[in-house]
Amino acid sequence: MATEATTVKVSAKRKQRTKLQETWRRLRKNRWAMGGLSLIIFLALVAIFANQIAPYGYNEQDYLRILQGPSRENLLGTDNLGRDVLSRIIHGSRLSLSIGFITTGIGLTVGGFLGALAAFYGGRVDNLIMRFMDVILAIPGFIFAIALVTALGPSLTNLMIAVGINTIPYFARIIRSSVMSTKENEFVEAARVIGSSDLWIIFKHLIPNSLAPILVQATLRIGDTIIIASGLSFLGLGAQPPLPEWGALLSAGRGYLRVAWWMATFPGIAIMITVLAFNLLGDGLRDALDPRLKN
Amino acid sequence: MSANLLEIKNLHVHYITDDGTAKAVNGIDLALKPGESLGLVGETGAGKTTSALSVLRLVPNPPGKIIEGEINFNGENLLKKREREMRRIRGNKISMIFQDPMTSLNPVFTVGRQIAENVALHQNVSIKKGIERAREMLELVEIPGGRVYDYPHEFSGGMRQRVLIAMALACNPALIIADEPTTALDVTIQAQVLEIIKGLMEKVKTSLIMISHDLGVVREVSERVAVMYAGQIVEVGSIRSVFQNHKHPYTIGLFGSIPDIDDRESTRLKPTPGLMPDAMELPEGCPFHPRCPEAMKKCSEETPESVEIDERHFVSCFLYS
Amino acid sequence: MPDKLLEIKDLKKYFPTKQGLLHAVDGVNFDINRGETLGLVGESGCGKSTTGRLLLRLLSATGGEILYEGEDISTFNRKKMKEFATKAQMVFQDPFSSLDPRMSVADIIGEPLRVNRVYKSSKERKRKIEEMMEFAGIASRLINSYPHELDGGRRQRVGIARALVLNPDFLVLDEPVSALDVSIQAQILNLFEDLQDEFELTYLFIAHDLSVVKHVSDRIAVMYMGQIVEYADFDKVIYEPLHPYTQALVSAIPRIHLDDKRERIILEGDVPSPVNPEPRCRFYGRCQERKEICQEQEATLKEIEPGRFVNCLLRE
Repeated sequence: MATEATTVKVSAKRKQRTKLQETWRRLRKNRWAMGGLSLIIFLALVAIFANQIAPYGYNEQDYLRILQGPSRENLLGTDNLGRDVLSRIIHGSRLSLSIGFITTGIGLTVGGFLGALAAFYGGRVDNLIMRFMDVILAIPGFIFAIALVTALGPSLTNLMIAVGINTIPYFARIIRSSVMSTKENEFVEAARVIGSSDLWIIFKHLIPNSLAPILVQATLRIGDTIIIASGLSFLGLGAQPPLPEWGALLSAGRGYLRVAWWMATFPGIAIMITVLAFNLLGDGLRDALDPRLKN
Repeated sequence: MSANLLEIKNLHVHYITDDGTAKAVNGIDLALKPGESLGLVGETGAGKTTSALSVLRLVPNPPGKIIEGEINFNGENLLKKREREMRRIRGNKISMIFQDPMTSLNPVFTVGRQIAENVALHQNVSIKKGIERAREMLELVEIPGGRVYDYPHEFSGGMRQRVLIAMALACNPALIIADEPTTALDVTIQAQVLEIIKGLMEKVKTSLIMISHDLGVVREVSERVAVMYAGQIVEVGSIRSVFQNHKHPYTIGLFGSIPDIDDRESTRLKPTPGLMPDAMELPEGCPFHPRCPEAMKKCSEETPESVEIDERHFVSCFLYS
Repeated sequence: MPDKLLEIKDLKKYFPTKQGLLHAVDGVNFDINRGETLGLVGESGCGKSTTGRLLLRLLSATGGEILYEGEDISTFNRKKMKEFATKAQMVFQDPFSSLDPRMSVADIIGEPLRVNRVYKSSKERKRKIEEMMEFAGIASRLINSYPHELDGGRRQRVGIARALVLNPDFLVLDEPVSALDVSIQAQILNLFEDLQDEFELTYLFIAHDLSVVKHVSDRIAVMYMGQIVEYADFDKVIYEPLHPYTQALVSAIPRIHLDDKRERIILEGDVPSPVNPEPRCRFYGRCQERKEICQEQEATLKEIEPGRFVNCLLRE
């Protein structure tokens, strides 16, 4: 029976790599992407150990040290209430990063599911879902978020909901086109032959095989959502004082730009670096996952 | 004996990648006389296409690299030529027909224009003259000449393959290399195209290298056949000699694998077990020895030389040396 | 009286297209006996793969009936369909796209067991997977490999093991060897024969290549433009073909025998489009024997001698 038993051994096996290892290998070659990744890891560590790293509490006020410039005690200066700007930025990284991840998470799960449904069933379902996505996209993201937050009331949770909803259509579109091409594979038909249900096929076969472009999009989106959320907080629609969200810090510093430039500048730099890191990683991932660039 | 049109001597081609070096072609020798047609047979990865692309110096580089050897065409070594000189040879003296008729034609130009441009480029004539030539060539492959103004999508798969043949012939090349030209076609359409190629071989004095995995196809259009395995030619000879009297154990296994429709007794197929080795890890000695039913100790140590066992019928196997 | 496993009656499948209705399968009748192999042969676009998919209800028929063990499969509810899935399976053409690249060999072969909840413990499941790998000739060290690490022949063996793991009675083999090299193709063809003996399987073997089908089939049905043009025991179809299309198809196969003096029949033109076909013999446009009568009426499949069916007005 076992025909292959007669097969002869062909010398030592060549190193076999899974697709993940292959991607990682290519990503590692990309210095910019690795820089972005290191920055993200650094930021994540800062956020996790904020309590240990930050020299002061985020709301620890010292009225003797108001609007002090950078010094040995306060590396990045103090604000109008005598709070240490560095500590507020460090504590704020928690908020900003969670906003980025949570809003992208909302967009990814909801948008991903809707996109997969649209691609899988096609026809009327597809039309209904995607036209609804078009409607969301037709409203400028920022204005949409402002409207929603105004309606629900300014708070961090509502801000995340608003920005999250706003990212849904991007993910829906990407997953839809990705699933559409995955659907053409015979293994989908094979799954049907063995009696799999639609949901099994969507979750076991279609979504896992459509993840590559989504990973790229998610990384890039995290950066975008951090910017949008900061912008909303800047307008006073997001995190409320005394929470040290970076956009809110920027907003608070705006009034003191002439007397205490550090209040606005350093949070601004923090936002910029974070977004840049995610964009670098996202671009690198896109290249690493694209088989056409394989060398 | 007339001089050879094409002589490949000890050709080695490697693909050098991050994962290692794939030895695609390992010392092949091949000679082709003017007007002669040779079938190059082998399974996927045997090095057929790489050998053919080497003749045109079209092996993608990187990662491909011609390591050593000579390819003499009309007595001149093509491997020594400058790129500019090669461009004058490609599509002119040597032309190639590819497997996929869908992607080999540019969809935005009429077929007449595509043929005419090639003619105009190489023969220094006007496009108008070229179109006339295109018309002639189409009629040669039994397509009405009036269709020079049609676009590729207006032709069916079999017709497109004929257009490519017409294009390959347009400059009166001395050599045509056809890489699996009928593999993508249905059986009845394949029969049409093979019939046309056969007819043309009699009409125009061109040499042909027909690459195929199908011994039956090669038999239809070739006088000689070379069987490739793991980058080497294991057996070469006239169709008659090789088909009746194949000697190399790989060739025997290959013939044993083919479902033979004329064989009324439904006997079991007798394929060689196992797989062709990975070009990155060729075994020592004869590359076929790990699968060979006749393997001897010597086979894993030395590479066999090719031996003439009949007139112009060579076998690379220690059983016959 | 042969034991009919499947009976296909006047099966039709039309696809709407921009140009009109595409008659992919247009009134097909045949049956498959238990334990036999029926070869279904034709060129691309003749409707052979669509027929295979209709038999497993991967597509729903526009008209006609498919009886499996006497029951019309179009009436099956969800539960019945799950049960049907354990009896009728499929092996696909493309060994690359038919396996999910993110699943290991064990996951792929075990998936039918998980979907149908055949075993409670993963240990039992693993034992069954190993058993199937052995039957399909896959070395047990490959159990955790991924499809991209395997060559075409091994991948096809994985696809075969997946199809067999539920112990089906009937397999649709959709061009299972056409993507493989000849020696691998021969290994897989032999495997199909062995498995048929071992598990008493019934095959519908779909192919474009008569010589491949000849090796495994008891009977052969030849399709052209959505219809069966000839259908009989394999030696009748191959050595004494009656329909002009079958004759051309047989003669078009490149031979490896040097003493082959057979007259080649070269058909003119291409297969016409099966969109809104005209009401005449489907083969009329390319037939070398065509007569007046052939364009006046459609030809139908008729039994001209016991067990031999031909769809030609000139052979009635």
